Amino acid sequence: MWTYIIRRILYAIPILVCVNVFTFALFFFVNTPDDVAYFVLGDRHVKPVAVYRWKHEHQYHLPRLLNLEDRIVVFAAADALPNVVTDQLDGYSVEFISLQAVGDERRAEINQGRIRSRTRTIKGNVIVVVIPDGISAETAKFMASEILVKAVPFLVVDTGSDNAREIFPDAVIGVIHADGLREAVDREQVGGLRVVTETLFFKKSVQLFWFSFGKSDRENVDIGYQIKSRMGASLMITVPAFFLGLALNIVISMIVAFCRGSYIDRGVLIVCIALMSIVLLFYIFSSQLLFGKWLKLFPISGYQPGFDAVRFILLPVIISVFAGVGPGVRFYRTVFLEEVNRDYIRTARAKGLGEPVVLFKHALKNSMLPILTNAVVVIPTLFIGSLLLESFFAIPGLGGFTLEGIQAQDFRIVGSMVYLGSFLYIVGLILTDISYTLFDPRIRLE
Amino acid sequence: MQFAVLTTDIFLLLFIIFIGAFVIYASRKTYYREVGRRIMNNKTVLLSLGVITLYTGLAILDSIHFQPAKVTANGDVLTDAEGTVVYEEIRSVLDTLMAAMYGGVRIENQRIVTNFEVSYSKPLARSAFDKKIITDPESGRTRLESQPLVAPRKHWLGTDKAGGDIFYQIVKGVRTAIIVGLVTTLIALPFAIILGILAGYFGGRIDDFIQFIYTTISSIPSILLIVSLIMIIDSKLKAISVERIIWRDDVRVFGICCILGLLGWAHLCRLLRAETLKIRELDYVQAARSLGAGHLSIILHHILPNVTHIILISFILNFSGLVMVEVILSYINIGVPSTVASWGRIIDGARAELGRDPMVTWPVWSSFMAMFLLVLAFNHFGDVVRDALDPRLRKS
Repeated sequence: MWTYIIRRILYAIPILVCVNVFTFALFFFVNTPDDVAYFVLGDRHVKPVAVYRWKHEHQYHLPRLLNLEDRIVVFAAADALPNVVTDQLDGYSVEFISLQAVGDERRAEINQGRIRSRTRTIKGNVIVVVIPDGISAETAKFMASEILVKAVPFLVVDTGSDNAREIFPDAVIGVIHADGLREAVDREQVGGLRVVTETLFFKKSVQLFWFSFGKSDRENVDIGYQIKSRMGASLMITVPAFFLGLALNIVISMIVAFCRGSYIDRGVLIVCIALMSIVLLFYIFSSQLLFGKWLKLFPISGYQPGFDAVRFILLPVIISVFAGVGPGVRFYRTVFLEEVNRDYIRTARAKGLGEPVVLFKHALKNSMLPILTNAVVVIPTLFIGSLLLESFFAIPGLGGFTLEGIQAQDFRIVGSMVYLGSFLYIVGLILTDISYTLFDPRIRLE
Repeated sequence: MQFAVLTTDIFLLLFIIFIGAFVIYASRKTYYREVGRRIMNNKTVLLSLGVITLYTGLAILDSIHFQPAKVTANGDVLTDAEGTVVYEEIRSVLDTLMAAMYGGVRIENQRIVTNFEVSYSKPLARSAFDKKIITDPESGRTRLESQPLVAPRKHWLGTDKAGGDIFYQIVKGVRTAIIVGLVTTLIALPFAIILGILAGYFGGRIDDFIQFIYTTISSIPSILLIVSLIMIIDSKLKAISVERIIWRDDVRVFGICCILGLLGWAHLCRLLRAETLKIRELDYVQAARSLGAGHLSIILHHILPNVTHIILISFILNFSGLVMVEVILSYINIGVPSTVASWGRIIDGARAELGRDPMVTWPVWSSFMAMFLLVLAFNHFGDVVRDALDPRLRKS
């Protein structure tokens, strides 16, 4: 039995890895970090400096898979150059970019946001940005940002220029005298493990394995904290709804199976098809109107933690049980009907057992496998909550959080929830397999 | 006049031809004739079929697009400086019919609109929903007076906030719903059929690999994956500025269908794999193999015809789910673009108005009703077809 469980768990790991790689490919290759930045910052009239800043703040400036092309940007005042720097950085490929090289016309174009990004490729390992005397901080900012957007910068070393600090206050790690340049560049040179860890794949995707979700794209919310604090409210609705729904569906479908072929059977089936054909939105709308607005039995929406929550969660729970009855009863009915026609049931009846005993003792036990297959998978995903219910009833759960993320078009939130959702689903699959060991003697006795 | 063909038009018409071909093929087989007889035994199925035909008919009418030539005041065809004919905006046959019904069309933002009222009005109302404050010039007193509509008693389902006719929007929404249901299925079917039969028939490594793929796909929460894919399409499409919005929006609807289709084959694939596993071991397949039939011939002649009923049933039952998904996606503002009519969009637009007093509920009820009819018809039809086709159910 244990080998069976361990084999199942081992089988789940590649799926999880595959999901992780797949979502990474989706969010970072099909949709590039530049796309995300322009998307978040608003479309066309974005200055490159804003893109740079945003990418840097959200760690989107890192290379995707391997951090081999680390680049160090050195800001240097004109008088400190160039032979001092060249002497110091012997062995590195150094590229000098003088800020004056960018013309006024181009600057105006950048300013108006007409140019999306610079096409020039930068080849050097170390980029030395020469800031000439008398250039204003504002001007330097534009021009330097254009370089930095492309350059994947790691370190901005200021060798004496006052401008550098003003240009990128977040990026400048310190003011270094020209003599110490070699040491500083060597120190910041990426090597060893950091080749792998200082990448988008590690920071944004691998870290999901230990549930470090990071911050959202737009509001800078700590996603991990949000998930932890909002899970409770989601569970308040989904757990009672799940168990009530399961019990109700099984009882109804057993009754229907009990009087199969009769008018009750046909009537219930017709009602089930009708219930299935109604979209969840309708249930929410009409019950809010009927019970909330006209009959005033429940508050229309809202939430309070603690015992008061009961008032608020009652209606969503009822709706979600009700919406599940249609498909649920139909499914369990076919399950029971299949069992009811088996030989052992006929034997049980022939022994003179009453119909309730036959149904609840014999049929139910043997229908356990399909029931478990259908039900246990769902249990872990209860944490996620329901998108529509939570947003309509203003319940501060994970479903509402996800919907907010979707509506704000926040890729980070959606990506995290995709991973969390598939993780929970896979946990559900494993739980299903484990639950088989309780009811399937073929596995238990192996 | 010239015809304009959108991407989704092609796929919809393809699908109709596909279904037509299947019906002709089936009507020549004794087995399917027997099934057809069994389906028709159920009298209520005719109702469902009627509803389905009506909706599909509307969708087809709405999928034949054309551009009439612009005409000057004295009836000549308008041409530009180089002598080429100037055309009006793209419209569908349905648009023209509906316009004739209302007695006039206005074109705004490259689509045909019928807002000729000011704001809300109840279904079949004579006057507007909101009363206007009128100041009597003589006495100086103010009173509330209801404003007569431009087309009294002609808005069967009332009008929305911008004065647009709800009935027109509902009818236009039919095409979107049908397109999403059919085109998605058309994209998903080949994946499900080919991979499912391959996995079941060959087994071994191929089976493991295909199983792994569909377990991975089905383990990702589909609604979130759909949403993120649509977001990605959006961020790509935003950068492209196209002259005609209608083309771009149509491509986006098609993109949504592709996404739903590419994610939607796992379930059917699993069913087909299980059934193929069973059929592979049956005597007639063994017999065919021992007579020297190749793999392809066995799959085409012995396996495919024997899993057709599963494909058919799951297609019909999936359809209703897809219609609901489309409505929910449009409702959370991630579905079809705003220029494309959709029931979800009507619900979304009317949701904010539920809070006002007196309430505006007719747009919501109408779109729920339109959707309910279509989904119910498909569910019921699917049920009857399953009862007629599934040999296991027939026995008991």
